[in-house]
Amino acid sequence: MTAASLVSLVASAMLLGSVYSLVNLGVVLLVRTTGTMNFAQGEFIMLGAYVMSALGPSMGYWPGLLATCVVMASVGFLGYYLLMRFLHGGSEFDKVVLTFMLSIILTQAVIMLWGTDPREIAPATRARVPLLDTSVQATTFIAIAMTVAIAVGLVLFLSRSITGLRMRALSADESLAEYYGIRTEVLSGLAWAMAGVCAAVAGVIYAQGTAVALTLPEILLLAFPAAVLGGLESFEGAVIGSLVVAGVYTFTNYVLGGQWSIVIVYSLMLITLMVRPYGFFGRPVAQRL
Amino acid sequence: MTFSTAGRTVRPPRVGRTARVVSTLAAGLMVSGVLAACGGSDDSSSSGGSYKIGVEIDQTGRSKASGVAQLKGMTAAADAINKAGGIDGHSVELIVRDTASDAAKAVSAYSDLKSQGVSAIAGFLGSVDLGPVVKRAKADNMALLATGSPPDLLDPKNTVFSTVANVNAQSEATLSYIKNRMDDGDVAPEGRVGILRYATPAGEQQSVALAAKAKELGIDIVTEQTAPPGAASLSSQLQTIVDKKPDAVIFLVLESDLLTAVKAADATGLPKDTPIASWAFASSPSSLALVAKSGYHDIAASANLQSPSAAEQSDGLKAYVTAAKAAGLDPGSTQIPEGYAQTMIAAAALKKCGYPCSSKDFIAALESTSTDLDGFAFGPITYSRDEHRGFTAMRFVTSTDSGGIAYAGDPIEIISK
Repeated sequence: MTAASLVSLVASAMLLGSVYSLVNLGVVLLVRTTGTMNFAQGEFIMLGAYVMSALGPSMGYWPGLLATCVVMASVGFLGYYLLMRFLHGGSEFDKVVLTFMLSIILTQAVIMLWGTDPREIAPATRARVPLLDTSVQATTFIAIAMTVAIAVGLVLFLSRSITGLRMRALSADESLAEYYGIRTEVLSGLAWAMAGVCAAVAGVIYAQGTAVALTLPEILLLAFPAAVLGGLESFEGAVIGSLVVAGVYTFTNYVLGGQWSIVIVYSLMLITLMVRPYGFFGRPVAQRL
Repeated sequence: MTFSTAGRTVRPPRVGRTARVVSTLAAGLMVSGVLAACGGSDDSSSSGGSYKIGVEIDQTGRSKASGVAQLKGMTAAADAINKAGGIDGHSVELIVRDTASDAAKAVSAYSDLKSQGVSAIAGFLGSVDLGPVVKRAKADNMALLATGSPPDLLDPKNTVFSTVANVNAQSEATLSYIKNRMDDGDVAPEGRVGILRYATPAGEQQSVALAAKAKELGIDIVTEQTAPPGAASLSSQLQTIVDKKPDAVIFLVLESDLLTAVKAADATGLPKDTPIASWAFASSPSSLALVAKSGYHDIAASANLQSPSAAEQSDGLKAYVTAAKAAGLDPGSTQIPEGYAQTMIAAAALKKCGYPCSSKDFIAALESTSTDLDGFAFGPITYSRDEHRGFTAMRFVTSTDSGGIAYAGDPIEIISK
């Protein structure tokens, strides 16, 4: 392997790691704030990409991305307000089932609005940054910067702000939080809107390196092992787990070929579940009997 | 009951009547969606009973993009036939079942369709749908018309018939295309080719076929990279290909993965003038135009059927465009022509079979059918007792600067006539 190849592979792994991180940040956010494992996050990502593919060409990349974030925040909030809200205080299982239903509704909406042909998102820039004796696409660095900004923002928001603290209380016990005067519906709606923004950015970054297609939600299946590795309730874990999984995936592909990469990534998840079921950055939950 | 907390009235969690109403509405929405997906085509022209064709196709699973489009094409064809008076006065009715690319659902759908007395079952986007029902269909003498059959299932001992050029033939055709470019001096005479294909059982079969064809044509396959369908990144595979400095590249992937591959090629520094060949999935004008945006202008995709954007217009192509537009479809969309052609091939066999047409009689009729769909195909689509692959020729298409389609070279024979 040449130095140029190594640089290129590391850049690819970082880009993929950024996408996985953004996917998982949305998942972890909802787990930590509402206790909901959102299996429609993949469809949120797909919808974000389709919205950007529609808005980007006329508005330009950055205004288009901003508008996409607003649209997806609204979709997230509406998804909560029109569906999830009615399971307030209900079991986790019921919520998970409802997110599956939400995923079907979102997919059908995309097919009705945009059909089945793939679409494209043009990158913010086609510039390349010279590095050693090769060059890396500038969009890779933009993606990494956006991921870091969102991850740091979420950590600070949940740990340093009153609203963030209330969201965490919500996750611990939804009913009790409401009895203590926390506006649970508003906060849950806000959490869903924030997850929508994460999905919008993830969808745009992911789709500009692939295609805007109905296959985009499958990213959740690939990103999920990273969330398990890091711990489903840790933002830091979600990011680090994502980078580890993306690195393993990329270099396994290069060295062993595509037929092995997914096997190895899922084996990694299996081993993690056996050794540390709560992930490397999660905390074991003690229960008084 | 309410509680007063910190000066504010708080309601306990509501999981009551409203929740049930919303759940019922949502369930209704889902059911109506499924029913819409399972609807048949209009059989209003029926005067003496209708021919029933079962359709097993993914509408909600991982291949739904292709499945939804193919079904639209199939329905457009059935509607066009029925509006023209049907087949000798008998309308064509499509009875559709969603397989969701799930083996269990495919088997269940097969039993359901068989019990409804269909003459044949069409659809079948891939081995996940097709594989589990092949043995049953063989035992029942039921023809399965597939757009995504692995080559081994097309063994004439089975009752599977391909209604597109099968992937092995398409893969070999990409090598023939590169060989033609070598002969024209567009590709270096060493013919060093890098290949990206799927890491699937069908992909392994292609690999064997490709190796033999490359040897026959004097092409050197310098690397053969694999990836699962829908891979999140193809950069590693493309890096390996770029490291080998190939004269041409072949991407044997679906259209969304082709876009991923081309963008990965750009990221890893594959020269922009490298000739690239791919499967028919990317042969629609919109797909080729999207790929061309990446800067790789020397890209060609194999095509099963004439393109509505090309200059040459056969009667079959005109009929297809009319039918697609009547159904409110974009004739240039991916997989819609393949769906249309599948129904038309079935209709040709039904006409030969006569009414009523049992599944056994349908097989006999199809095995003596040869049609080029009035010039829509690039050569005869011929079935016999010893040959179920059908398509005998295909042609490569490229994108023009104006976003149209141009043919690259002459039709390539993929099965000896």
